[in-house]
Amino acid sequence: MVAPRLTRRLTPALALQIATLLCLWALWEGAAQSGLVWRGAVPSSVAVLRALGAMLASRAFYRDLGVTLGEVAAAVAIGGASGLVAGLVLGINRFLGRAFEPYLHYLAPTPKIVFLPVIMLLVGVGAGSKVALGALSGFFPMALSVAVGVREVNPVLLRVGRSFNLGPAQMLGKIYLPALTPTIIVGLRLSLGLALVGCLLAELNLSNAGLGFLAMQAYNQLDIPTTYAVLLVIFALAALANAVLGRLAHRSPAGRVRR
Amino acid sequence: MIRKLMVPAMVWAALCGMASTHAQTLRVAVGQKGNWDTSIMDYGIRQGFFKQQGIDIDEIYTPGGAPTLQAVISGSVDIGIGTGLLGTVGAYVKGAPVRVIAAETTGAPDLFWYARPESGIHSLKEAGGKTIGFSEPGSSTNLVLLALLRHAGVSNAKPVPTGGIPATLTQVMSGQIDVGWSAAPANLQAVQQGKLVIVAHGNDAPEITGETVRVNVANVNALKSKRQAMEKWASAYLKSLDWAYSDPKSIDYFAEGMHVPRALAQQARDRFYPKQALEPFKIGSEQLVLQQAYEFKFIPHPMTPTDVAGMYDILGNPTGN
Amino acid sequence: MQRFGSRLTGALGIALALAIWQGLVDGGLLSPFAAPPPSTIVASVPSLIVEEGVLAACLQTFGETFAAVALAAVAGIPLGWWLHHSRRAALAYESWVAAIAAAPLVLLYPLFLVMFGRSAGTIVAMGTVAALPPIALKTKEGLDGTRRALLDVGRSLRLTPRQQFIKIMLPAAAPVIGNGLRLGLIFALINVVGIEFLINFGGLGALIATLGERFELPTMFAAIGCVVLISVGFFVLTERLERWLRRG
Repeated sequence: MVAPRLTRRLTPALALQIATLLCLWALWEGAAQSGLVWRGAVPSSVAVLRALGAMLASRAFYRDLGVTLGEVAAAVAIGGASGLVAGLVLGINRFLGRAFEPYLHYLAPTPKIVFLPVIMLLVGVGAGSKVALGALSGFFPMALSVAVGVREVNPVLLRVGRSFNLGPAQMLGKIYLPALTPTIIVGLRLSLGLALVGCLLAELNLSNAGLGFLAMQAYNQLDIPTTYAVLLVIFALAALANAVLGRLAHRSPAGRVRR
Repeated sequence: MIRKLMVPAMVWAALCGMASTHAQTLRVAVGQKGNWDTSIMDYGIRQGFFKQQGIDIDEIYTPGGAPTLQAVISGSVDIGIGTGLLGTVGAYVKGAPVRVIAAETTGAPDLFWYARPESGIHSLKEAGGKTIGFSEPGSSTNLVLLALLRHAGVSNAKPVPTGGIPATLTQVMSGQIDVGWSAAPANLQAVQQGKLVIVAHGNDAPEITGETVRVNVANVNALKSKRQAMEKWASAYLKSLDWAYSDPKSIDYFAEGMHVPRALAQQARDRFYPKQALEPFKIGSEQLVLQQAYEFKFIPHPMTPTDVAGMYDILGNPTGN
Repeated sequence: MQRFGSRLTGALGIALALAIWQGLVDGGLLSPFAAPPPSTIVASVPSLIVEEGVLAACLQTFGETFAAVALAAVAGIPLGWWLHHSRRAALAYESWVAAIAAAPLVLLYPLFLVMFGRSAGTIVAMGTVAALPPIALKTKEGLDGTRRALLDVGRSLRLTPRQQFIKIMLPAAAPVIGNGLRLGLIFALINVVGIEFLINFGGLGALIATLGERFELPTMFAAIGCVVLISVGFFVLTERLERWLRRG
C-alpha cells in the first residue's frame, strides 16, 4: 500500500526540514547579533517575527494578499495553458519545433518588464497589466519544458498508440499528456516562479495594492523587518504551491519513482 | 420641524447623488508614495477638496521617474505627479504626447547628504577622494550633487550611482561608500540619534535653489478631452497645497504615511519642504534645465526655452499666467 | 534540406511578426512611445555601439551570466543527483528548491549588497541562486526518467553504480539536464540584467535603465536586443554541452 509507506517516509523528511530550518535560523540570528553585518540589512528574527505578527493582524494585508494571489493564479493559468499548447505543438511537430523553438529560447531571457508600456496600452494599469506580465513571464518555461519533454516520451508508447490507430486527439489525451505529467508539473513549478516574479515586478512599477506594492512601501520607508516579513509570506506561499504540485507529481502514473 | 427639514434634505441628497453620478474620474500616477511633495493630492482627497469639484481620483503608485512618465505618455493615466523635468523635456522633444501642467518641486530643499560620524566627514569640503552616492545618472540627485561639489570646490570626489534611499543607506552603513544621499524624512531619525551626520543640504548650492526639478504632467489627449475636469483638479490641488501648510492635521497624515513620529514629520516639513518650493505656477531656471538636459543626453542638441515653450500648459493659475 | 526549410520558416515567421509590428506603428494602431517600430530600433544600433558603449556592457553581462550559470551547474547538478538518489532528501527539500525559483530574489538585493558589496559579486551571486533550482530540478527529472530497460541492461552487464551513472544515466538524462541548463540560463540572465538595472553597476541592465530614463526608446529596445543576442550565444554553448554529455 502506498499511503502508510508515504506516511512513514514523511516523518524523517519532516524532521530533516525542521532541523534545516533551525540551522538556517541559527545562522541568520548569529549574523544579526554578531555585529559583523549591518543590522539594518540583517535584522534580528524577533524583529521580523514581530513585523510578521503585526502584518497578519492587519486587515489591509489580506486585501493585498488576495490581490496578488488572484493575479498570480490567473497569470499561471494563462501562461501555463498557452505554454502547454505551444510546447505540445513545437514538440510533436518536428518541423515547427526546429523552426520556432530556438526563438523561444532566445526571447525567454528578455526582461519582460520592458513590455509593460505596451501591456498598459492594451489592458490598462489595473490587475490586468500584472496578470499579462506574469503570464508572459510564465509562458516560456512551460513551453520549453514541454517541447523537450515531448521528444523524451517513450517511443514504445507512441508506437502502441499508432498501432491502435489513435487519432491526434486520442494520442494527446491517452499517450502524450499522461506521459508528460511530471514534465508539465516541473514546467508549472518554474512557470509559477517566473509568473510570481512578473506580477510582483509589475506591482513594484505601477500599482496600489498587492504584496509587491506592500514590500516596496515597507522598503522605501526603511522598514526592513516588514519587508522580510512580506518576503517570508511570499516564499511560504510559493513553497506551499510547489509542495501541492510535488504531491500531484508523485501521484501521477508516470511520476512513480522506479526502483 | 422634521417635515420642514425633509424637503431640503431630500433636495440636498438628490444634489449629492447628481454630483456623484456626474463626477468625472481622473486617473493619476503618483511617484514615491508618502513623500510630502507627492502626497499633497492625497491630503486633498482625504479632506474632500476633489469631491467638492466633482472629481473622482483613480490613483496608482510608481517608484517615480520613467515609470510615471511612461504611464502618462501611454495614455494609461491622465496625470503624473512628481516626475523629473529633465526626463519630461527629453520625452517632449522626441514628440511624446506630454505637457507640463505645474511645477511640483523647485530647488532641492528635501535632499541631504550624510555620512557615519566615525568617517570624520562633516561637510562636503572634507569629501575629497571619497565616494558619494546619488540615485542614478541624470537624476535630480545627480545634478544637485555635482552642483554641491562645484560650490564646495571639491574636484576629486567620486560620485557613484547607489540607487534608492534604502540601498544607499545599506552601502553607507556597510562601509562600501563614504557619503550617501537621502530625502526627508528618511534617515532623519538616525541623524537625531547621532548615527548619521548631515554633510550637505540640497539647497546649499545657490544655482539649484531656483531650478524646478520635478513637475506634474498630463497626457495631451486627456488634456483635450477632459480639460474642464483637469482645471478643476488643478484648483483642488492648489486648495490642498494651501491647506497642507495651514492645517496641523496635514502633519498627522504625513507622519502616518511615512510611519515616523509626529514631531519628526513636523520638523521634516518645516525644515525641508518650504511652501515656496512647491509653488506650482512658476518653472524656475529653464535655461539651466535645458543645459543639463543636453549635458546628460536627454536632448540631442542645445535648446532655448523658446524651443520647448509648447511643452507647458500650466493649469489652475488664478492670475491666468 | 528539411533542417534548412525549418530554419527558413522560422526566420520568415519572425520577419512577418516584425513586419506586422512595423505596420501597426506606421498605421497609427500602436503608439511608437509604447513600442518603437523595428526600423527605428535598427537605425539606433550605430549610436548604441559608438556612443553608449554597448559592447563593454554586453561583455560584462555575458561574463556575469556565464559565471552564474557555471556556479549554478557545479552546485545544481550534484544537488539534483542527491534529490534523485535520496528519497528522504527529495521529500524534504524538493519543494523548497522549487520554491526558491518562485521567490522574488530581486527584493533580497540589499542583503546580497551587504554580503558581497556593490560589485559584480552581488550580481553573480544572485544569478547563481536564481539559476540553481531549474538546473537541480531538471537534473532530478532527467535521472528519475531513465528508462528501466536501460538500467536493467546496466545491471545485467554488472556495471558499478558509478559506471551506471556515467555510461547510462547521465547520457540518458542529458537532454533534460541540457534543458535545465538552458532554463537556468534564462533565470540567471533575467536576474543578472535585473540586478544590474537596480544597482546601476554597468552591464546591459544599467544601460537599459539609463536609456529608459532618457526616453531613448529605440536605443533601449536595441539594447534589449543585445540581451537576446547573449541568450543566442548561451543557447549555442548549452547545445554543444548537451551533445558532449550524450557522447560521454
